[in-house]
Amino acid sequence: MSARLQAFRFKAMGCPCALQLYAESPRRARHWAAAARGEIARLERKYSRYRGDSIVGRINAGAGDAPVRVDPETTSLLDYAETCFRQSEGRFDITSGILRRAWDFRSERLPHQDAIDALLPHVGWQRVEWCAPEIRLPDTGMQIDLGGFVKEYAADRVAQLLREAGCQSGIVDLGGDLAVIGPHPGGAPWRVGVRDANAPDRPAGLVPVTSGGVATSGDYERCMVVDGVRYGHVLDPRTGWPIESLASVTVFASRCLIAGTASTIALLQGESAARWLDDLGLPHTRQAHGGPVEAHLGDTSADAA
Amino acid sequence: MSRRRAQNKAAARRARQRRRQAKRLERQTQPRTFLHAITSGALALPGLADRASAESAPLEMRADYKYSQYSEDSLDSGKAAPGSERDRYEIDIHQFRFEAPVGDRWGVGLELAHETMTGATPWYVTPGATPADDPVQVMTGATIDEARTDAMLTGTRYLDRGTLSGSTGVSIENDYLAVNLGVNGERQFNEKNTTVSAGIGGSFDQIEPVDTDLFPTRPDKENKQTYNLSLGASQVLGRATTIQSSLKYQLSDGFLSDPYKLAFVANIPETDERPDQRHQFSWLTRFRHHFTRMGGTLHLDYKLGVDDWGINAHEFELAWYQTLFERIRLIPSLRYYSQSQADFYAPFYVGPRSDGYRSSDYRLSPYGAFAYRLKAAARFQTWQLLWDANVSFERYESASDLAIQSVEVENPGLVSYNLFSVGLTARF
Repeated sequence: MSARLQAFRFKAMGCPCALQLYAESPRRARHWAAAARGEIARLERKYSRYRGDSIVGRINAGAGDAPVRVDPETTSLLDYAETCFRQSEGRFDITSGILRRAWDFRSERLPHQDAIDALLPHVGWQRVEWCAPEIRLPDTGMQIDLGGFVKEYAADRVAQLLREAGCQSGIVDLGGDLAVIGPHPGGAPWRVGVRDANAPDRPAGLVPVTSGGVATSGDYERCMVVDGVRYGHVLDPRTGWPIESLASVTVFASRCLIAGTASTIALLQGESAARWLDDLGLPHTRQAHGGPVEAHLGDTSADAA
Repeated sequence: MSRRRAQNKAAARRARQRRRQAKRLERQTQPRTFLHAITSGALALPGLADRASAESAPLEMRADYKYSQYSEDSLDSGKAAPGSERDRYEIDIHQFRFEAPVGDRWGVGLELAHETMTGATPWYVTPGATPADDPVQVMTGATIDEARTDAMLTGTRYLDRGTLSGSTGVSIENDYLAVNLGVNGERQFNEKNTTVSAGIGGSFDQIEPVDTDLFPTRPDKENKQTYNLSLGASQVLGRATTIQSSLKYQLSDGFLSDPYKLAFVANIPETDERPDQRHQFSWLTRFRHHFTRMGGTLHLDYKLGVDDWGINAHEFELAWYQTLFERIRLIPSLRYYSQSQADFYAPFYVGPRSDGYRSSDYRLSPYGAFAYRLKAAARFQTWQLLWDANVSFERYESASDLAIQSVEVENPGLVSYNLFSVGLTARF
């Protein structure tokens, strides 16, 4: 009964992914990996905003037109998006993607306010006519994008799928969003590296995790500095302007999806992000721009529950 | 080039204004409720609630306090016997509940209630002065304070797809002692869209009537046992609609008469005598539909009750839960109730019945009732606690001509009351 660790690396959802699975035989591990990739591919096809035949593509194509009927899985994802929108008081908004059109971070120029003002009327989940199972975007300028949490959802789904298939030890890594299937055989934790935003190539520290999920939101990759003021890519959907916040937040929670939502909304809290995270009470690490990585892991076991 | 700089300067100034505006928008997302909400949201997604995560135990401690003032209308002079007391019961009720998680798989709850009662209650009914007159109610003398204290302890185990809970409680009055026990289970199926529940319980009551020296016909000490079984199911029908249905059977055994009431038989007040067994069935169906556009939920309930004493009851309730400004709820509701009489009931008896049973208790009489209620609830946060405050007022009126069937003689003791409550819940 000696299970061997096997790693599978592949690209999906636009980022490098990895599965680390303990299996009795290579054949079994390959079988699990194939099932996992199938599930990831299914979600990518279904929720990509770049594909006209995806459900998101169909909803966006129907903007300003008739309502689109969606299936139960999409219904619960849209319900989840609505919960996040409400709970974050409008900061987390799946209709905010169009604001990226006004912001070109390579240009080193601020957008004209007129450009933002033209987009703002088309942003706001509260305007979406969502009455399950039908959704209608009220005007042709509106778009939704589930990219903010489909990857985390997929990580949780895959971990669950592999647990049900009999895998007891392993970890799913979709571009840095992690879902633990189960600890190493014998119960030893996985050691998750937290990246230092100032030196992205080496981990600032390792956090032991035996269950649940880990996700990171960062605001250090794309930005521009105009007149000495830094403009990051985290946009407040209510103003259309970037929010000055932390450089990076990594949250440990019972699900990758919860960790991802919490880290995203933490950045959207702007200057109160640190206090908000303290009140939230989930184990996390955070890093201010130019500062060190601070660990707030509660008890050191960091067994994020 | 310089023009570009000027443009950038102006844009930066606007950006500063924008940031100030953003600061004004900066209302804190409340992390505590946030985590609770997104966790339940995430676990509702297909395949995210796995066997390893139990039915989530209560995340927080919770304390509730509720004060209610129940006040029965005085008896109309036309319905009270001449010289009889007309003021009826006034009851002050204080209820306290506390729930706390113990580890992540257990929850405990404690409920305490204390009631103080003053006023008079219906004693017996006599025929009117002439055959053309309606019967009139004779009331007991006004009681000075009576009090009741209830305590109940509940333990809940959160299992992978359901809960199992046990409870035990006592109820104490100066002439009454009851102990109850119960076990309830709930299990969810098909991604939590179907819930099946079952419960079994019993209550063991002992009554030692007061003033037996003044009223020698009152028993010294009697007891009764009540056993109940319930089975229920609820089904989610789409995102906004739920239907629940439950069946309950209750067997009461022992002294089921009222030692303080009399029945007028051939012009002589005799003790209240009821069968010593009663089988009751009830079937309750609840329907809920949420109207997203209006931000309101409709509740429709229907309850059918049948028992072997001949009382068939129907109860309809219609309520609307309207959310305003995300933190206030207004709940107007309307309830209608109608029942037929117990076989052996009569307002008074011309002669004894062959089976020896007799009762003129208005609760066994044929009647109908309407209740109108308005409740308002508000949620706010302070001192790191989440508070819910609510206030409600209910008006209840019962009369024989409100019954579905036609009633020849109304029991003069039928009650109408006002019920006012204020409550406060703290979660921490």
